[in-house]
Amino acid sequence: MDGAQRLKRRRRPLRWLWVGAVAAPLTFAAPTFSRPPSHAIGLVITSWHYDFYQTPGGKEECPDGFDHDDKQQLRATKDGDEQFKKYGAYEGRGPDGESSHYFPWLIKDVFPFPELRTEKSVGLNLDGTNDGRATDKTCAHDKFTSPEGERVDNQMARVLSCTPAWRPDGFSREFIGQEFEHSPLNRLVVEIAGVDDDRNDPDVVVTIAKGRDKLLASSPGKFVPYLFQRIDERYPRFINTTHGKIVDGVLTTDPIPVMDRSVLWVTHPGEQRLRDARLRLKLTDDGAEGYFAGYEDLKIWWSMYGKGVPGQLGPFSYAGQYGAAMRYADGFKDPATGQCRAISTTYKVTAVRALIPNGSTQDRSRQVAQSGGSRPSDAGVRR
Amino acid sequence: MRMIRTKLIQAGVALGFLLTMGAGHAVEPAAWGGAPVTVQMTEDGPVLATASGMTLYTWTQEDSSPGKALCANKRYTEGRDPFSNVVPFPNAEHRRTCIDKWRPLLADAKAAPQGPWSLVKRDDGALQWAYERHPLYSSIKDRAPGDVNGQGYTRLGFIGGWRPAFAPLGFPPGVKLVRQPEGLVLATGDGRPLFLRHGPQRICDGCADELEPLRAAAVAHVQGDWSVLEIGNGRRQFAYKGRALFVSPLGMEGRELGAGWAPAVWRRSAGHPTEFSTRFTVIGDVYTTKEGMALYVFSCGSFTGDALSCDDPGDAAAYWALHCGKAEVCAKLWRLVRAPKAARPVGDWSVVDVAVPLYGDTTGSTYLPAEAPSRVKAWAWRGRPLYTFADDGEPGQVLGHGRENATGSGFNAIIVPGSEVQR
Repeated sequence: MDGAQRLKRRRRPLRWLWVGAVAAPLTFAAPTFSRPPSHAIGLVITSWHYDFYQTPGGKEECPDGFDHDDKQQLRATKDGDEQFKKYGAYEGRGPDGESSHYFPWLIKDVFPFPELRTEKSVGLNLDGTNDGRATDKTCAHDKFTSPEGERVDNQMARVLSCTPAWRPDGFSREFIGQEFEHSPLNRLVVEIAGVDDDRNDPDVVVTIAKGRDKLLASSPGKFVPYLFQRIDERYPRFINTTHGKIVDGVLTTDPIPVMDRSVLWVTHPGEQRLRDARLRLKLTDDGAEGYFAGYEDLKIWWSMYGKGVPGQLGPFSYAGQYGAAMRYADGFKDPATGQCRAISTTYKVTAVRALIPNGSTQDRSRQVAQSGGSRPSDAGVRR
Repeated sequence: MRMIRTKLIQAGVALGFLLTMGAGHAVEPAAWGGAPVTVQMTEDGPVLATASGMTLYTWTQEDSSPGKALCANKRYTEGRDPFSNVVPFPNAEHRRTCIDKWRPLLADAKAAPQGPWSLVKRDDGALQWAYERHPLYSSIKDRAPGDVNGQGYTRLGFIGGWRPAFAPLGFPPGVKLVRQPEGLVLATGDGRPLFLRHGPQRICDGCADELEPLRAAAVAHVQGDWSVLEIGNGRRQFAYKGRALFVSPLGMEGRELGAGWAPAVWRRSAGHPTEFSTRFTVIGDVYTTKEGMALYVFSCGSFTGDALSCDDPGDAAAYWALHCGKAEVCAKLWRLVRAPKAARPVGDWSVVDVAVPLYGDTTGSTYLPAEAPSRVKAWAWRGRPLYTFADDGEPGQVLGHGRENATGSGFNAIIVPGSEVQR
């Protein structure tokens, strides 16, 4: 036996160790024929993006054309050149040079906002009405019709759909998609606990929490299932629990009154608050796909969205989008002013199965039972 | 020449020794090579300083032209933004020049270059000291010895191309200091903090299960508090003050370590005023009020060759207006953190006079405190007044963090050094 053969032979046990290490979690986690009577399904979200009805070139839904940016708007403004000279920034379009990102309500665009001209949209029926009439909590709005014929709410489509950045090949859509995949701040795990039957179960406990681990892709967009994904327990306020049901393999959750999550948004760490947030996910053996929907809290959303790319990269007008968001806001009416403070939004999500080692299923089941569906306490927010 | 370098290194080592022994602010009064330079301790480590102890800086824009001073007395009135648009500077006729904000360390006519110390002839004929061919400057933002206020501060850290001129430390090659919550910590060249094991042992069995020894090359030369331990099989490990040093393997930084490990602290942080606290947020631990509301500072830079800051009193008010409008509106949105009479500076924290209002006309200049209708005492971090953000509705929120424009000018929460979360 020569040296090379000896070395090869010595390496064999190591090779088997590798095979074992790779196979172990798969063996442990792959769908089995003898699941325990009540078990948990772990998922990690692998993509998350706004979902709108968009056709090539926007001919059908955006017949008035697309949005304009700060530079185009300022140049078309009477005294725009003088304003630019005074404040030295295209976004400084407010009466005192205020930025369109941070004071959009002070700015009036020259070019009209491109309105969405379609009644089609994906989404969920968030207000429970078929006609979008005002209720105690919601403002009157025009509902959309989903491809399945359901009357749904997704007013965010009216704000962003006719912006090139949010078209299927747009900069923001691509950039945010990449960030979702790569940043731990965007990691979201879902634990469905108390599952007696993966296809039909009238009551399961669902925890949605910030995750702490990386996604692993075997090829672009193809994520490896059944890896460990820890809940990031450093952030109790990003751990949310609710009840749900599984019907014919589709999980639908009850609304979570306030769901906060951390985000990385165009390189900016921030957070997002969805009110009455809910999930509808079609479960598969390896993962899931479906919708995350709720009312996006506009103050917190704008604190994140307003820090995004300069409008020139859209192109879009922050002032125009903010105005549309306030105009089409349909949730969480301020009783004093009648203005709605949140807007119905639907995100399309995909997920792969994951092993959640710190899921604490039993503890959280108790918590949700005791709290009537609200979040665990925020007390003691520390690492 | 060699003697001068040695002297400087010795001074650094001696300084390190003094500081680790708890000597606090030690200054080495030295006139190395005729340069009127001292070493001053700062929260970032020992720096070269003027004779009066003010921190000296070098500029990255001069890195590619060694021995030339590019920071000039030229007033720029416009620049280019990241989209190559030509952008006029607001209130341009009052814009200051690079040397208005960065004062060259001038040499007299008799000065002679020695060792790492050289002389640069400026455009106006004046001579300026340079260290290792980097021209040296002091910052108008520094008010007292030990200040390192000159750098711009953004959500991505310190920017603007200016950096303190750190004094040599006499550490082994590949070891440096990094800021961590505890203070200045020994680290590898790529910034991984070094750790010590509690207890008396010099050689640690089982430590390698969590961290790996900081390996020393066979030819490693050490001095002062540094030594090399033989750890078997011909392997050698660096030790500091007789304690073996360990490091996280690459790619495994930041994980939680078992009990018994402590960062290799070279100098403890001076801490923060008792009025403040820290809180864990989406960006890491940030400094907060006692009530948990995040503390922010404003930092401003401009698009030009001089990359001049625009956040000093007397600079254009438009840079503030962009982020917060008229002065009255601005003051409600960004609430100045006033300092009580008894407030005393500590470490990075000081008390400064702030004009109230900050400006009158958004197209004019911000007031110098002495010219303002009134002024108040406010807390400052690295010379920058502190603010809380009205939109932060609850403790632990940092909604104002990164409210910047394309140059990185704007407001940012202050992250406890070394505590940033992975983004």
